Amino acid sequence: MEDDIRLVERYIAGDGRSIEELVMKYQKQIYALVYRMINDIEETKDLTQNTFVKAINGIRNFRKEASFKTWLYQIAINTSLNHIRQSRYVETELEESIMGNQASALSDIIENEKRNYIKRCLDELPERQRLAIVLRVYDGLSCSETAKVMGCSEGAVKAHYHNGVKRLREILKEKGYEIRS
Amino acid sequence: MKLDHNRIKEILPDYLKGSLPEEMRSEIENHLKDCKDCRSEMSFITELMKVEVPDPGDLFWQTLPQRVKETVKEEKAKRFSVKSLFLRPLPVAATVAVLLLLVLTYTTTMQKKEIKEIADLEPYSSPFTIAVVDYSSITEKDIPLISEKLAVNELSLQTENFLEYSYVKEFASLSSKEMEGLYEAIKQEHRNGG
Repeated sequence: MEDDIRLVERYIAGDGRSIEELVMKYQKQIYALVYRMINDIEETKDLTQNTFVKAINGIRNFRKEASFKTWLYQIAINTSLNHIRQSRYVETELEESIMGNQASALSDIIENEKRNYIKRCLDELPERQRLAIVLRVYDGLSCSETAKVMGCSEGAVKAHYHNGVKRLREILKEKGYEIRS
Repeated sequence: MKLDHNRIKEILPDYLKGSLPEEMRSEIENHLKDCKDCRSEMSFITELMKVEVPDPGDLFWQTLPQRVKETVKEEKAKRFSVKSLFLRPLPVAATVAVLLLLVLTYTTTMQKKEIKEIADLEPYSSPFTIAVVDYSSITEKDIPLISEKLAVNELSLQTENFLEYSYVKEFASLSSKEMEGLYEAIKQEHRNGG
């Protein structure tokens, strides 16, 4: 598959097919990233599409200082965070009811449900901490790559990641679910 | 390279992903044998990694590139139509007409405002008109003062007797020869251009 920069240049030169190649290359990564921020399949589908549309519409703003992937991740994160902020009130109400139901049936949950439970607990973390964990653990980005995507220093990423993991373990412990080595 | 406890904790996700060089991997593995805290952290991250993302299905993956392309195309067309809306002859004429109307309205309003401002000013009184003298303020006490002034001829009207001061008498005293001389002098002066 062609280099990202070449695909971008081809699109700017008028080759519309290069869009499809860029989307095919990154669609699964962007979908997974957005899903881990949003936790809703249908909304994730829409936001994944919106991320690519925004990226293509603003492709002339891509300055090639960072990689195309980093730039695309930034757009995906901003799109997801904007969505979370816009629907925070509704989500909070919904989340509370889910958490209540889950807590009452904690003794019966199976392995898959445990994972869903961790996922929901992840949503309780502050945005930056959650983002640091998602990018480091799930997307496998290095500290420097995560720092570029989040627009902060490597030190800040390390702090967000460390505090995020610590807080997540505390939340799980508070709710009676502890992971031991 | 010697990695300390905190550094190993930081790079555990990279270790689990398998993106570290062999030398670092073996160092981390040796540390994990002795460090309960790092083992616990690794177990937790492994558990986190098990949280999977649901697959939206092949149809989504197959159609997404085309849908993105179509949406971008539609948005571009919308932006173009908004731009071209102002470049067509009819909208241009309408814009010019609106602008003219605005200018006319503004000018008329300004004129009306000026007229109103003038109307609001003090009534105009010509310096050549004789103001009506208000005698009501004159009292009896003022009469002697007026009489005195009349006595020194300050308030008397200068009624000039034109006949008395006219040249008629002077001309009348001239002889016929002197009159002819005067006439010739006037004629000469007229010829010389005054």
